[in-house]
Amino acid sequence: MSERLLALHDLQVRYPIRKGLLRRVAGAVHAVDGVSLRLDSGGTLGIAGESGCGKTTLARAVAGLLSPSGGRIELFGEKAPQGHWPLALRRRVQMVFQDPGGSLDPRQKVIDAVREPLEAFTRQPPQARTERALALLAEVGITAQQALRYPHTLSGGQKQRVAIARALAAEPDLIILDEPTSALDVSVQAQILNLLADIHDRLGTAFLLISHDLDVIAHVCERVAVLYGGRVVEAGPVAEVFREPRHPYTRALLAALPDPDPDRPWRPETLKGTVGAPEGGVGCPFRQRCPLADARCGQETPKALEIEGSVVFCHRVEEQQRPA
Amino acid sequence: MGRTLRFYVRRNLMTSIGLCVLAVFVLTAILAPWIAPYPGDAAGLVHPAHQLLPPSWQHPMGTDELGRDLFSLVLLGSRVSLGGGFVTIVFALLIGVTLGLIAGYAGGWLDEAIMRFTDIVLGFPSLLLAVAIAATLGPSLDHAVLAMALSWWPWYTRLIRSQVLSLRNADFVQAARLSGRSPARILVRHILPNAVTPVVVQASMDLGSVILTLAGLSFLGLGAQPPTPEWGLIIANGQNYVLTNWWYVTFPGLAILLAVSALNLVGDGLNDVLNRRERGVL
Repeated sequence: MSERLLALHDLQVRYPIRKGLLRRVAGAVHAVDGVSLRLDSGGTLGIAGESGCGKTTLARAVAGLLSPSGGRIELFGEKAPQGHWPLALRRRVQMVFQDPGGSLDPRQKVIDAVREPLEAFTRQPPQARTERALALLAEVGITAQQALRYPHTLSGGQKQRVAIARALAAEPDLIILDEPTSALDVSVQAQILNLLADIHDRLGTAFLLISHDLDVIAHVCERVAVLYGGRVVEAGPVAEVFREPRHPYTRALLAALPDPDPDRPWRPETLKGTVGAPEGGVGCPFRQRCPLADARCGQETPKALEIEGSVVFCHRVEEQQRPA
Repeated sequence: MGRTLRFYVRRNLMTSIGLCVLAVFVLTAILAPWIAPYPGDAAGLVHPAHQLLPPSWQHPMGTDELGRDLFSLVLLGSRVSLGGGFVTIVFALLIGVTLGLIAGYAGGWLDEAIMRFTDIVLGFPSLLLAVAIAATLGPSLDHAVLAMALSWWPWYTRLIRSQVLSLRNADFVQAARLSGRSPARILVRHILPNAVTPVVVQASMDLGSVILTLAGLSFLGLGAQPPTPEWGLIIANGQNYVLTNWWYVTFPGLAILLAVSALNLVGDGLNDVLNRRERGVL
């Protein structure tokens, strides 16, 4: 049995909506609304969902960059502290951001960005830190010459490699990858994904990969959780979920994937409406756009239903499974 | 394309002129004690026999009512005016940048407290506030510099704070947190270098107005005291002779005009250069 690395229990993150002259709290966006997930050490979990479903908020909460409004985050078997994390825990959880340009300080040389975690987390002498930083950069394909440049002289893919090297410098047990390839060209995306897969095979680092791109998740992850409106609608092994999606939202998401074969006609089922700001409350988060929704979906929050290693949250699936 | 190119050449030309004039001023300010023909005149020597002589080879800017060489006074006065202005800006930056960094990064009640206090100071016209402080402290050059610094810092606080607000949630700041860095270090090493550009530009443009204000305070008797040679003070002494002895106020006035204009041109140029580097063009 592998060690439990990350467990989320009913995690909630709400952003207050302030209105009026006195900036009174008028309501809240339930960006993450009761998510429970687990990830074992060395595992790879993908979080899939469209823009605004709470993916990035979830990533930042797990990374300790923002405090949850409710529920619990357990890391390495212990409850993650609110606010500032002790260095020992900080080292073990690292993150790669979506925008490679924005995650590097424009006034800091590439090598200094990688040296920074080494300075904070290790007691090596400066010379050893420099060598280690150069070795890490070489591992991700950045030359010593490029290491001495400023970030704006590098391409998007190179910047993302630097960000990955920086995350690796801390020798973490968990790397959170927040849309690591969505800002990159398709050809560069593949290189970065292969680099990540290689790192996982070599170092056994656990990944929490956030992406709207199901192909990316299928390429890197063993398990996947599909998020909608701040809640998990379906979760399970990637092979299982993608082969036989059960939740109507997962089905729509998979159907929307374009087929690279130009001769095959592509007619995706389109969903009506757009994602609104999740407001929480009772009912299925997907009910407004679901083709199968009925009155029950608005009155009762679907419960977890386990089918062949997957978990689905849907009344319709539950009704089908029930013996007549 | 042609028009922007011509714009930059023109801009660069003006910046170069400003830079040259400024360089001459700084150089003469540094070398003034050695190149001034009558350095003793600035230390209180008087020559009643030479009073109010028009410009000549002996006295390129003429002499004042005490027979002192105005050229020597203007040269030595540049040390007081430029130096006083520079020290004022440095003090104002120290106060303003520190408070702005704290307000922007800490947020909450500390931010409120600092910014409301800043607003109160901003509510007074800078010159008026400087006059009030200088008058309260008593007339002297040091007090005038202190008074100006105390009335100038709020601009830098506001500028820095707005920069910090937009930077503190930037991904690279979050990434520094993930790299185990303390808030103080993030503030100094990551936020300050990225927030400082507009403040440096603003400060370089303000240097001109500060020099002008210092001259104004001295003119009103609240700044440099005689016999310290200061441009504003020379003009104050010369105001009774404006109609009869034109050279007395003209040359120190020209010195102020040239120095302030040069500083403004350099400030503009600095703005262009730093903003272009920001965008990664340079």
